[in-house]
Amino acid sequence: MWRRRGPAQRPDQRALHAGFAGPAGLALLFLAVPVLALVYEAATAGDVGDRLTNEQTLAALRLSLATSTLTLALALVLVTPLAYLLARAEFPGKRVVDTLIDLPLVLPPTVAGVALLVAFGRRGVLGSPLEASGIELAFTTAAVIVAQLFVSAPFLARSLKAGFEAVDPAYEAVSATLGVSPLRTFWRVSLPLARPALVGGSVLCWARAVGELGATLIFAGNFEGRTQTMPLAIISAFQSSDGLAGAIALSVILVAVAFALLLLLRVTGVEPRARAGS
Amino acid sequence: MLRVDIGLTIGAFELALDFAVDHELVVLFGPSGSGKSLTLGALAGLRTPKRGRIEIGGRTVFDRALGINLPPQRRNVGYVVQQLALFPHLDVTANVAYGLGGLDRPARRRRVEELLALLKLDGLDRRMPVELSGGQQQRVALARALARPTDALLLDEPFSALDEALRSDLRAELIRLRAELELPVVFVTHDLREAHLLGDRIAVLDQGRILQFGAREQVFRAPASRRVAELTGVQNIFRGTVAGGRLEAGGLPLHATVPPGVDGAVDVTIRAELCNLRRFDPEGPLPENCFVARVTSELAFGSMHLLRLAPEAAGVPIEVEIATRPYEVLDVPSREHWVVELPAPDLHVFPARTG
Amino acid sequence: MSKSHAVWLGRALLVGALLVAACGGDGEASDDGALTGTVTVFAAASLTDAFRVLGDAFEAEHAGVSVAFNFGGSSALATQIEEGAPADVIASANDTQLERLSDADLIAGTPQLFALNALVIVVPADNPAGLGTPADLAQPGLRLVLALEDVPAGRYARAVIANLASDPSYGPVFEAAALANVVSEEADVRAVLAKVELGEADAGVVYRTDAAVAGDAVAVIEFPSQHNVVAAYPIAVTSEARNRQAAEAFVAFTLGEAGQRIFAAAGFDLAP
Repeated sequence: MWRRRGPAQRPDQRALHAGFAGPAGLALLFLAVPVLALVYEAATAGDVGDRLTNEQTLAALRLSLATSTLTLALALVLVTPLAYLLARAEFPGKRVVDTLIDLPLVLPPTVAGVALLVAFGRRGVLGSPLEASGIELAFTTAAVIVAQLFVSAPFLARSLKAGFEAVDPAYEAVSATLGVSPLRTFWRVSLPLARPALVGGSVLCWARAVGELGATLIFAGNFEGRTQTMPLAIISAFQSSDGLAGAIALSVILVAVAFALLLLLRVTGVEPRARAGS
Repeated sequence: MLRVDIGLTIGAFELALDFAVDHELVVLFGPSGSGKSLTLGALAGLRTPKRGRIEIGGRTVFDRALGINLPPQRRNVGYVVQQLALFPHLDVTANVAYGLGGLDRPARRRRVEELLALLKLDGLDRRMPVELSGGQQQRVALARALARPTDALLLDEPFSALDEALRSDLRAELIRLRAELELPVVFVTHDLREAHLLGDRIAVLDQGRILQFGAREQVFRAPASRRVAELTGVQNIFRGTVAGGRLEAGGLPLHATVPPGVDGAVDVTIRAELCNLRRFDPEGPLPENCFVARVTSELAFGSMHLLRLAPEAAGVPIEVEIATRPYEVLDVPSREHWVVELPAPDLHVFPARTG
Repeated sequence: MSKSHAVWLGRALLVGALLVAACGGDGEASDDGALTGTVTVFAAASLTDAFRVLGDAFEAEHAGVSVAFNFGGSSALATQIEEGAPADVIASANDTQLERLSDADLIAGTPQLFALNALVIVVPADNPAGLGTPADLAQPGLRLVLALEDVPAGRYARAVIANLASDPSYGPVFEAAALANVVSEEADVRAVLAKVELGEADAGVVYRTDAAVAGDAVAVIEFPSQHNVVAAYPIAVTSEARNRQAAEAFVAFTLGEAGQRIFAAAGFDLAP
């Protein structure tokens, strides 16, 4: 970012890069070909345009974008303090906490959905008291956000924790001697210096949220317009008369939109801004 | 005015200090691991001592007994760390102005301009740290530390990573600044020449304790112990005895001022550059503290030569440092035998401590 | 942004989320008896098309009511209801789930069958293996795809094959030979259809309604009806239904003439 661009490749480096290009190309192909195959299939079927204007598709797309964005925003707010503490503070049980945040990654999404249901459903551990105060969480749009948050927040947490750990504590110490409080130091130094990790983690978190299916199905249900995000719409298309062709068309729409947004996020996120006279 | 009297423990390492710094530059000199950086950290409020008191600028910033422990934000010290810690994501102006949150924009700008001019950084105000040379980065760090009103300046080996020419420049800057600033300055270094150059007074630190604290010349010429002599690069340290008013050290009889009450085993030191080399005249009598010796080895540094001579009578080798011109005039390589003089006023005698 | 901004943003988000969470009421019958509100119907995924049409027809007949569907796997739906999901009606692809719910007192009254779904053999439109009759399932080298045995469609498919094997014209060898041809088992009967559509399999066993969806992409071979296994679809009102009146009306509609016509059009067999 604010590092100088390195010098041009040395001859010995060029050889290594050339050697790596082969396996790298294979890996790239492996990742790209299935997606390209989907695009090809959809193109030959020819009805992607119709689907795009279909109200159900648009509703699902809007819902996906709205919920995943809210999920990312919530994740940033909730996870940042946690990541900072894990990177800087010492407290009993720290390693347990650290492992705990990996748990949602290990759970199969359907199991995660059941866990959320058991916790927050009307009969659930936390759900019953919530229901008594008139708040129902499961099977609502909010439930979609909760399901997405549950499975995607750990990505942000991991990335951000590593990002904070990489910030030299000397910076924070110097900031203190210059009269700046620890909280303002966090905003002016620690967080900006962790920015690559913040962006990378946000990309992962948002991507996982957009693609979330299993937990959403169980915890939020498959209600058109209310909880049917794009992945759910794709599954539904598969189950309905739209069948495979429908599923492919919707998948391509999702992939195209997601790719564009991910690219945008990466490009805008990592751009450095030198602030003068802060 | 800066007063320190503290004890601090980190793991197995114990730091115990008691000293005061007026409007002067005190060098904290010692080998790595002696606790120099730790000392600055305690002064800045980044480390908490387990006992004692620290007073800076007339305020008590730390007092264990009274439960006072001001955070770094409130201690008003300028602190330049070894690795600089210039904020890489902020440009020079933003870095220097970092601690100036209390001022309005115009006031900030003026202050930054002042500091950039003071440290000869004009024109670099919009550069990013990564675009600056080592010397420029150092000066920005200094400017940043000086931006706010400070009661003391703490510098932790700020010039250690720079080349010789740059170091000289920056040392000169610092000396000039010090004259203008009227602050206590504590400067940490493990470089002997730098210590001598900059320090009004020098505190020799070893294993968490101050072994000697005094004026520069005194520390260099009159080390308080063998260890201080070793640390300050004294090449000639002789074990000797004082018996019946007579001094003998390194196997040689010496005339020197023996401090009253000193008797028995002693250490005698004299810096190599204070020893004199004379032509050997077989006819003439030998004045006191002069010995005939043979050159056994020689190290040629650019501006001087370090000679090792073995006295003809029994005795330990003596190291003599002689500048290039005298070396040439005497035509040292042409002869083997010389007379080494250890001038009495420059011999320093002190009791040898066991252990 | 400053600290206060961030805190404010966080609080706003949380409040917003909770507001989104709070459902509106599902409504009840108005004073004059007309149905209002929403009726929430949980239905097996294989009923998606038929129930969508049914829902539109129901809404057309009862202007004040809207139908909200939650399509999913029958087992998942049952789990959701057990955990307090706000379902008014449950339509399942097999009895097991409704029995489970009934045992937990989550069903009002007795479930009623509203449709049947027979199994058929599907082959790709160009029929590369040249299948003509069910006996050809035992054809050596055939790539046959079935649903997993845990899935009703898979269980039923194996049952049909066993039934055929008990028929002397097929012979006991038929079962082993047919099952030996199974190259893949799918967790979802639609995946079986997809594989046949894509030509990944020479044949598969799916519901008649699934075959109807694929249209020209597949050709259908019927099982003899005396050996065929038919899936029975029950429907019931839940005991915790929030819109009991509309729920009962919906169930009645499903079982009534209009509903049954819709199922027939979709390829279901009618309930007795």
